[in-house]
Amino acid sequence: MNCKKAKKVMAELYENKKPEKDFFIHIKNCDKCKKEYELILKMKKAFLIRENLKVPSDFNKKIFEKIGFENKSRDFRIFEWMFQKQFAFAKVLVLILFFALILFSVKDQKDLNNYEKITIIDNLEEKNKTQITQKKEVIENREQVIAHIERKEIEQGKVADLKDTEEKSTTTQTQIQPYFSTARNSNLAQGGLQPTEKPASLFIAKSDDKPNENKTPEIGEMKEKFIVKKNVFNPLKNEKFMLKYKVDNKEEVVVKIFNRIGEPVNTLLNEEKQPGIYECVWDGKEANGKIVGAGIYIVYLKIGAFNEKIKVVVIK
Amino acid sequence: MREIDNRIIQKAKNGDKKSFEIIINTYRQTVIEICYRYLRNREESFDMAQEIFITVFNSLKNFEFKSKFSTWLYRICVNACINRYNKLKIEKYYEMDSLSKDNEDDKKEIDLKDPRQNQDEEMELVNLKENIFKCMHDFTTIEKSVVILRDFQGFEYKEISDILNLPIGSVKSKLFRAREKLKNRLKRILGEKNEL
Repeated sequence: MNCKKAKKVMAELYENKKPEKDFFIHIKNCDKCKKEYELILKMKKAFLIRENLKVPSDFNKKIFEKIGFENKSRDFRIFEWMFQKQFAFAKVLVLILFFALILFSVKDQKDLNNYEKITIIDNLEEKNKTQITQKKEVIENREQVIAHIERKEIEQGKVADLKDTEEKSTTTQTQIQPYFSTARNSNLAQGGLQPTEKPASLFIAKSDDKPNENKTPEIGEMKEKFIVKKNVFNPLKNEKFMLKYKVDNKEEVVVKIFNRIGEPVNTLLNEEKQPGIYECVWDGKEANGKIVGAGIYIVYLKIGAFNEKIKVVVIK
Repeated sequence: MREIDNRIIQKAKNGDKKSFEIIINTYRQTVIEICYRYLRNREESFDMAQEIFITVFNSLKNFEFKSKFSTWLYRICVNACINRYNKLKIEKYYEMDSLSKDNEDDKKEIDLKDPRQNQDEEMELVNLKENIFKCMHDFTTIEKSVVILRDFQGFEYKEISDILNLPIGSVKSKLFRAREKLKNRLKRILGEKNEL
C-alpha cells in the first residue's frame, strides 16, 4: 500500500470503517501517514466530547412567555378555531345563518318603511272619502230642499201650469251650482256657470244676490265653514278646484292662491259678501291666464275673522 | 434521532401547550448543542434555541407531515444559526477591522498552549476540539454545517441532505473537503506546537 491508498483508507476512518492490515503495515513504515492517522483518531475522539450545556430551568417558561401562551384570550381561541379545518361544514353553516339574519333584518326595515307609506296613503284616501261623503250629503240635502220648495210652491198654487213651473225652475237655477245641476234636468244645467265664482245660494233670488231671510235655516244645513270639492285636479283636462264656503254675516271674503314658496299666483275673490253659501272655482290658471305648473298650491280663504289655508295639488 | 408521535405534533399545531412542551423537551438539547457549535457562546446559544422554538411554534401551521418533524425542526435551527453566525461574523469584521482568511492570520488567532502543560488526554482532546472550532471559523456555512451535523451531531447523510437541501453526493464531497481542510490546518498547528 502506498501513501495515496492510505489516504483513502484514512478518509473512511471518519465513517467508522476498519482499515485493512496493509494499512497498518504501511503506517509502521510511513511516519507521515502514521501522524495523520493518529490525528484523525484524536479528531474523532474530540468530536465526541460533549460540552456541559445544562439547560436552564426557566428555558421552557421563557419560550411560553415569548409565545404568549398565558395571555391567549378566549376570543383569540375562537378566532383560531374558525380557521381550523375541523367542522368546516358547521362553520360555513353558522356564517350563512349570520348573513341571512342580517339580510332579513334589512328587508324587515324596508317592509316597515313601505308599511308606513301605505298607512299614510290610506289615511289620505280615508280623508278624501269622508270629504266625498260629506259633499254627497250636502248634495242630497240640497236636492231635498229643492224638491220641498217645488212641492210647497205647487201646493200654494203659485204654479198654475207646467209652463210656469219650468219658468220658475229656470229662474231658481240661475243661482244654483252645476254641482246640483247633474241631478236636475237639462234646463237647470244651463244655469250660467262661470269659472271664477258663483253664489251657491239655494234661495230663489229673483233679481239680485240678496238671500231670502226666510231661507236662513238653509245656511245652517252646511255645518262646516267651507267644503273643498276637488283638491287634486288636472287643469289640462278641464278639471277645476271647487271651494264651497258659508258666509254667516255680511263679511269680506278673500280667496287667494299661493304657490309652495308663498308667492301669490292668483286672486280669485276679494269682496264683501252677503250671508249665504257660495262656491269658488279655480281652473288652475295664473292671474295672466297661463296654466300653472304641476305641484302643490295653497288656497288662502278668509271670511271675516276666519281664515284657512287649503292645500291643492295640480297634476298634469 | 428521536421522533415524536404525529398526534402530539398535531395537538401542538392546534395550540396545545402541553404537546408543544413535549416537543421542546425532546429536541431542546440537540438544538442547544447545534447552536453552541455555531455560535460558541453559551448564553447566546440558549437565546438562539429559544428563538428557534418560537419560530417553530409560529411555523407549525405550515408543517404538513411531508417530511420528518425532526428534519423540519433542525432545518429551521440550522438556517437560524447560519443567519446568526453570518451576522456575528459581519459584526466581528467591522469591530476588528478585518477578518482575514489567510493562513498567517489563522496562526495568530489560534491560542496554542504548551502540550507539556496538558498531560491529561482528556484535556488534550478538549483543547483539540477548541482548535477544531477555531480552524473552522472561516469555513463556508455549508462546510461548517456539514461538519457540525455529521461529525459532531452524528446525523445521517440523508438527514443532512434534507436539512441543508443538498444532494447526498454534494454533502459527501463537501464533507470530505472540509475534513481535509480541517486536518491540514490542525496538522500545521500541532506541528508548530511540537516545534515549540
